[in-house]
Amino acid sequence: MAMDQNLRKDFYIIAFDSANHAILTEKQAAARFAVSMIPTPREISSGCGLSLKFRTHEEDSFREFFKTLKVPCKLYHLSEKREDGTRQAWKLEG
Amino acid sequence: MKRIYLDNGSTSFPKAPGVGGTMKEYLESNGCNLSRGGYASAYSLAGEVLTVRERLASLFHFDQVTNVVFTPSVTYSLNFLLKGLLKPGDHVITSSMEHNAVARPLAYARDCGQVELTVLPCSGQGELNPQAVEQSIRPNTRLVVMTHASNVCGTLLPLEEVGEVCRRHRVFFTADTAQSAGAEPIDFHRMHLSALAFTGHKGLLGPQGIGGFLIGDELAEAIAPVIRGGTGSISDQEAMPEFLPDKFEAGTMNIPGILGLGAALKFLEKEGIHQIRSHEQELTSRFLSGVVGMKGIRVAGKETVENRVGIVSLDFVNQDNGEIAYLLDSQYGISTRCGMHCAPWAHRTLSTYPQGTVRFAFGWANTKEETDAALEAVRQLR
Repeated sequence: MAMDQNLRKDFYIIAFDSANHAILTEKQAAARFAVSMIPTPREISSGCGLSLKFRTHEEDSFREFFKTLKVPCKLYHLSEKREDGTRQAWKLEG
Repeated sequence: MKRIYLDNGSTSFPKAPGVGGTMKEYLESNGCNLSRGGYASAYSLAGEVLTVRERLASLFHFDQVTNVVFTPSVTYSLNFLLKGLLKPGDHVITSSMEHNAVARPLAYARDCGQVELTVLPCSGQGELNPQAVEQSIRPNTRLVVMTHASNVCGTLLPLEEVGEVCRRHRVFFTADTAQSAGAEPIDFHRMHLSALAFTGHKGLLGPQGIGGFLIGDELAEAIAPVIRGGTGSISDQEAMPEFLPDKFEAGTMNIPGILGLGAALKFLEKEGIHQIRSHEQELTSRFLSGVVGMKGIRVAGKETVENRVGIVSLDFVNQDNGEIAYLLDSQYGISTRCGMHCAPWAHRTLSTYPQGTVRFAFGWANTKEETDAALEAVRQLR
């Protein structure tokens, strides 16, 4: 699992409630995209969930990949961090 | 004196190669928790645990990896599956060959007036007629639950046939595979199971303290969690998660146990269940051919090797079976188990109540020489 420290700029994630669903999806996603596992950003949930963060910006491909998934999850685009440390989350799918 | 371990029905020994090493490696070099840490090694561990679920799903021909749930033991699994499901007025069917892991929770629920209980009598060989299940089904029958293999005499119950009856009548069907998992091929779907409870430390050759169950969606929805608490998921909500396995996995998991079990499953995949079964059957057959007809010995249950796991129970006629077990250990170095084997219903069925039996349970690492040594010891002690 590659390290990814760039959380300030905008990025795409798939958010999960279940850690097992996240791990299962990570296996599939890693075969197609550069991904990292991160705690689900607070703008989306404070429930200890895991998210799969894409390290590239290929929204169309992410949407297409998302539609193949059979586990409960949601695809988000998160904005660059504002000066106050917050950011906006747009739900794209799910 | 060389030790001969023939108590594999209690727990397998030796464990599969790699079990101890894997557990030691985790405890000394990793040690992080599952679904509780926000760091790479915790995510990596979650992947390793998921792999163990995948191995279990594969072993039992089950296709829903997140419906593989870990518990501390098969007894816990059965309690979750019984107490979480049964409601006042429900009717339950079980067999007279059950271990107390099934018998006690059901007898308690019956005695408290919570459920109606039918205990189907098995034959003196420990065999069950599947038609008896069909004849016992009532409009309020909620569940059929039974062991796959008797822990007293090794007889296999006809789960495929019973499962077919349950499927036709739309009754949940739960199997206790404590003595058969790892020793017999088991197919979740072919047996029409709603749930399969397993332990990790017997035929699966893993460590004590880890068990679990596989569960279909319909039964999982019908069962309320018996244990509630932290799951590391949707923690901002008061209710337990509805998704699996989190719904039934509150509290920190036995991670060394899970990883140790994973190593054991890897070994079983390499060796092959059929290969292990064939070896254990050969030893059982060899032992049976020596004890059947031996004066002063009564074999409890079947006297043939067909349709059984590698367990043989002997009643030393007019002797104290506990004393025999002591002498087997102290004079011959042979480890067996005497008494009721936590299965008084089964002993009543086999007419070995209250004296019990001396149980010889063969495992993957036993040899023909050890089997012959046990036979010779029996011959001298009878």
